[in-house]
Amino acid sequence: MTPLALGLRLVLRGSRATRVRFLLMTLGCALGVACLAAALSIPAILAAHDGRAAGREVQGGPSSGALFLERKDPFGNRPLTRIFISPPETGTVPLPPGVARVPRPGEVVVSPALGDLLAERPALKGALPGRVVDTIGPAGLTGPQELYAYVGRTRAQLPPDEARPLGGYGNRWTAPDEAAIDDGTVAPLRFTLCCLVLLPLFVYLSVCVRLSAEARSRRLASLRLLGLSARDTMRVSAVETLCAAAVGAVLGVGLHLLVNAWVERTGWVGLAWYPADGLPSVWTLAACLLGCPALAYLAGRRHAKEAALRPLAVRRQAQPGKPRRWLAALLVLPGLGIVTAYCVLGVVGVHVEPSAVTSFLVPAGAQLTGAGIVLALPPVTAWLAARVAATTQRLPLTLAMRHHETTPGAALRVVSGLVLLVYAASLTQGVLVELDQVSRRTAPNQEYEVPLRQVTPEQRTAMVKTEGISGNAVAAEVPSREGDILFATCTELEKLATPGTVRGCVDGRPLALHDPFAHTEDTKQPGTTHLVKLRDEAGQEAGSARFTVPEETVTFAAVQPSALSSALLLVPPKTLPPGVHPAHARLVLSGAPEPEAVQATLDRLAGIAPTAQIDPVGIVIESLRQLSIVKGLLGTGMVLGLVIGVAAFLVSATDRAMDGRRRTATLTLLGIRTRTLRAAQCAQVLLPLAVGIGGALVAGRLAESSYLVTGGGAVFWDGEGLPLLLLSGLGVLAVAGLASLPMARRHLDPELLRRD
Amino acid sequence: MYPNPAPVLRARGVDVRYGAQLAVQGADLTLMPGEVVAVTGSSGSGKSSLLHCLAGVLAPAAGSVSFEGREYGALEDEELSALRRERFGYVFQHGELLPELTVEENASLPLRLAGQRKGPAHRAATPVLERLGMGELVGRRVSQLSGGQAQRVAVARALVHEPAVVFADEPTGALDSVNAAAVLDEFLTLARGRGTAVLLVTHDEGVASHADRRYVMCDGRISLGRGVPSPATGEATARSAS
Repeated sequence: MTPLALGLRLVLRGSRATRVRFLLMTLGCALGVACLAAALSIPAILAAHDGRAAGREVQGGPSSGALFLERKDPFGNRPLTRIFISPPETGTVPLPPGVARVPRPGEVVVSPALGDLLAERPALKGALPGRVVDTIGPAGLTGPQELYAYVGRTRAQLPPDEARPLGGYGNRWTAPDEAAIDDGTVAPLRFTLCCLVLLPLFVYLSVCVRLSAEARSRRLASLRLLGLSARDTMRVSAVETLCAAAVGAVLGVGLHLLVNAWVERTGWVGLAWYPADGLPSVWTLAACLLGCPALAYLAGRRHAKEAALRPLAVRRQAQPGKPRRWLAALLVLPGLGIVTAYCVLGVVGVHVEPSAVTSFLVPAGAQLTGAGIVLALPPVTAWLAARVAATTQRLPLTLAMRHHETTPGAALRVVSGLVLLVYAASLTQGVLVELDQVSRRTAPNQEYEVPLRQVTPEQRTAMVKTEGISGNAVAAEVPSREGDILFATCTELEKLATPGTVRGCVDGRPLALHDPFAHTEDTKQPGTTHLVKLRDEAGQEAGSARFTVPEETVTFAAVQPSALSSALLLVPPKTLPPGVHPAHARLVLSGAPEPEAVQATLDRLAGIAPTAQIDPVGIVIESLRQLSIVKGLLGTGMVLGLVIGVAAFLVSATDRAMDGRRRTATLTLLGIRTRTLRAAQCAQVLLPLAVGIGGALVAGRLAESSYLVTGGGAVFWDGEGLPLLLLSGLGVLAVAGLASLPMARRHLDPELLRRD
Repeated sequence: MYPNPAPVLRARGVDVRYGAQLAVQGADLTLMPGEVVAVTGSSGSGKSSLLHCLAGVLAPAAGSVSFEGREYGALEDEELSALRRERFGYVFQHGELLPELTVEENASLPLRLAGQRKGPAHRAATPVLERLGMGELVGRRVSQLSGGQAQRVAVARALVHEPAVVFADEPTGALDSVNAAAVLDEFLTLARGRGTAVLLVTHDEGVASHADRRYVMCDGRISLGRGVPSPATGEATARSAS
């Protein structure tokens, strides 16, 4: 009988435990291959997204005779893009990708997601004037959840100074303006996802490979003693892992295809894609269907090494070798050294700019630290267990610590998945804090800017009076572009500035504006004169007005960020003649800062002036969109990591309990109490887990801070997430402790006491 | 003939079943205080099943087992556990020691399970271990011991709490003849010295010859060995118990 046939026979005709182990290994491999296929498909998904974004970019040019105007506004954390098209009276208009015909004036073509949204929010129809006549196909959208519309308008309805001639559309091979994820974000994202998903998965697979390790090793050692060569013994062992990995790989690819088809219908991860984008390539299939089984074969051989080389020791259940301390030290010391060094730099206030060196050192340090923590767990906890066992008076602790002391590797397999998850959660928090710095709003209000020339006086009045708008002003840019003149009353200034900070304001005369938190410019020096060009309501030039900076000063603090930050002069609105306004000015509106209120206000403003560019100050929609995608992906990674980590814990803890049945049977025969057995089982799980989670929290904190110190952001130390992490750690401990209790069954099976 | 005529352990008409298979059929057995009783028989004859039933590990399918007049069937699981913990001792072929514990910790385990603190329990175990020649090895892990040494630790663990009955299942089965004889001598001497009854299950005639009385098992049926006095009459008998 060949090793292959023998291995197959052992798998197919094995006991119930063998079949359960095979099933778990297959499931683990399937999950791993599905994650791997998803990770390998991400570049293709991003490329498809960017290709279609580039292919539908509107190009200016005189060839078609049509005009277009592009508006991009935030809708929640998604951009809402509207392309206003005014077709010529004669001739053809280039067709946008995914659109059957160009909308005529009064017609709208929307993406399916925007169509659904319109049905939910009738107020949004104001921003999309016209009748929806068609939907955009996948060729014209970056993803199924995108909010995109082509709006047909007459030439008179488009602002003449902004509408441009429509020449055509881009092509897939140019870089788009709106990449799915910034190049700078991709690397930390991949790294964090790897930590979140692949590390717990690696632990899970190694747990599956080692299931029923004691019984299997004894069986393999018996085969070796019966005359099987060392190489063949390892082959017999590898056949099982190979079969499980091969079946698992096929299932995993199938699972990936299922999820790929399902993602289209959800906006769950912020980056929903079309099924065709996420189909695995030939290389991905090769890596999944050939690479994974090959790795599993090698892992199976490696597992049988001990039984093949030391069969007698395995049969006699000799004491396992002590865990290797030097390997853990080799990883954890340099890793901690790197992250601690950057933390020290952060403590002393040194701002480390992002560079090639930091982008290599910080991930390397984090990886080394994570791997080092896991490898350091067995020697550290074994040492600790020996000390506790020697000093404690409690029998459960003695039993648990002595058991752990002799088999720290088994405990490592039980807890390392959860420890790595907690460590990765710290890192994830660092990435989120770093990203959050671009979008975090702490201002007491939200400002909106609308170019004055894009709205009629009636629209302007309607905007000022619309629900949700509490303050308004007109900010005119001075010709030197070094600041703004603010046309507002003292009451209006108080509504725009940080509450309670306006001092010395008197209505009826121009006053210098001074914000102590802003830079002092020469333009604010008393006596400096600024010339402002004026236009009438028809848009015709109406002369100019001259304003001199007076001695009298109003002190105020602008919210951050604010359109008022560069204001240097406060001028009463009545100073200007009726029916005249500054030529280069913006209408500044102020409202509540809550995201829901902002969205409702944007809907209303867009309904009043559909083609006007309404800019919510400080909201960078591209950053928000990317943040949403990154948060979604990290959230998915966290959930996957949690599932895999918990699965690894449960599988290995159950397996350990099964391996320890003989020991439990002996203790039960000797009359051990249930509570003593449970306490011992609980302590056995909790000691390595508590040490591991403690280490992971500290090391994760250091790694997170080193990432923030080198990330170029302003926040180095993030205390907000610490209570949540600590609570999560305690929660993991509590759940693990409780989960270990049912495994301590005092059932006594005489079979376990039978003679060998 | 016996200082206390009341039997410490009594089985009447005991059947042990594994599903449809009858492993022990109508077994009657009596164990007097301080008595060493051997149950012999070929492999698969039901010796171990009977021992597990008498030790309260297996519930009989029929019949009854009682210890000092208390029937097992009337006892809760916790009471039965307490009985095993405080009144019974066990010696098995492979010792069934906990490999991660030291010699001293293994030997004192029944006392610790009964609630004694570590110091007194270790102090109680030391003289027993010394008598068995293990005084020098108290700090060693049992995985570092030879088979004979491990079996001595198992004997110490079985006797350290001065049980009423020790159940021994092939106690020397894993040892060579020299070691087997030495361990068995020490075991029985210690047990007799403490007035402990011993139920010895073995297929080795040499081991069985150390017993005061002998039963033979064959296909699940138990009978008194030839020329062995009955505990009730003191006369030699060959009557089948079933």
